[in-house]
Amino acid sequence: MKLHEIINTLEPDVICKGDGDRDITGVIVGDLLSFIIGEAQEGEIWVTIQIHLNVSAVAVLKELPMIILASGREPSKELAEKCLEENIAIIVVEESAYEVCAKLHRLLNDDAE
Amino acid sequence: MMMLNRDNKLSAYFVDLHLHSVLSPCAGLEMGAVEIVRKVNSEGISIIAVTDHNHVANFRALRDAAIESAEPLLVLPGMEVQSMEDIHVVVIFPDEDRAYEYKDWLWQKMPDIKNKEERFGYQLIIDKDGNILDQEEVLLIQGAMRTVDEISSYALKMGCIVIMAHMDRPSFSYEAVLGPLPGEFQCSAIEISPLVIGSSISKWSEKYSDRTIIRSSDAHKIDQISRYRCSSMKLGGLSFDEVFLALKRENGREVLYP
Repeated sequence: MKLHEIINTLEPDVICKGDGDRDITGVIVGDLLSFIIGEAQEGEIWVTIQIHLNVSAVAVLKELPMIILASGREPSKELAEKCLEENIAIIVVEESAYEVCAKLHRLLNDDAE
Repeated sequence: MMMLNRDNKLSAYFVDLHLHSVLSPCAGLEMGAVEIVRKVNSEGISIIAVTDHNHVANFRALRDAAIESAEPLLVLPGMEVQSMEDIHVVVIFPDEDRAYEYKDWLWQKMPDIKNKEERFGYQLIIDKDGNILDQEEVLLIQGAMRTVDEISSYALKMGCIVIMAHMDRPSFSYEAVLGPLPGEFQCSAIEISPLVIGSSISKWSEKYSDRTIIRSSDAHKIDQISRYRCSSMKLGGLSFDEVFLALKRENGREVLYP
């Protein structure tokens, strides 16, 4: 599934659209950056409530094309600016991480069938 | 203005810049002022900072107990601050006034969540003799709604010492929450816990070669206070300024171990 299709389905507040043609390979959830650095796989969407600037650095490091901030968490100014600079998609959804993951699970599973 | 005695010879002292008293709900009830001072004396430790979670009220009890200490002992006011990202930062203050000024600033953004003693433990404000003066009602083991960057930069601006607590731990450390400390992040030192021993210490000093590494006990129980669980520093005497210089590695002052 393409990144832009996911953005279109979630109806989020879009801070940066990123590269819409990127293929999404999966989803990882977590707020501890050490965990994401250790576990994330290239091409995954990252669902988090962490809004620190370092989130963008980890996304670049692990080649994660999209960050979803759950529970309406607004990114810090520095994080928003860095994502725009690096062209990493970053969106804010009102749903909790649980709810947005349930949606993503349906989307990615339907796409695989 | 730095108060340095230039005539003093530099000597090695044991320094423990991170320990808790009965004000921290997770600390043992044996962590009273006289009890801490007695143990610190027997370990040959010369400088301690009392660093309860988000609070400074038991500094006075420790300072007063230190006046009657058997050995020369300096007690510094400190605080283990918890940021909105759940990162612990140890802040050491030059004096009590600045400790309360900083605490007031921090508490402007402290959520009004009450402690549940039966669950988290008591938060006791004591005097030097262990009399209970008051109890803090707000839960102290929670994050203030201030970022780790704000917490450290505000403290540094006030002339405080800022130490990134237990960097090796999987919880409440900068590395665990936000990854490796960026080069431009300002702080006085990185603290490693007593669990880091032997050759693992050099892993940290190599990783952060341009920073000062210290070890502190983070004692929550009397038995955890030990000269083998803290740092040794080359100082010209017992003062905040001497420690400040040692962490900056200036005027011949330095951290000898780890």
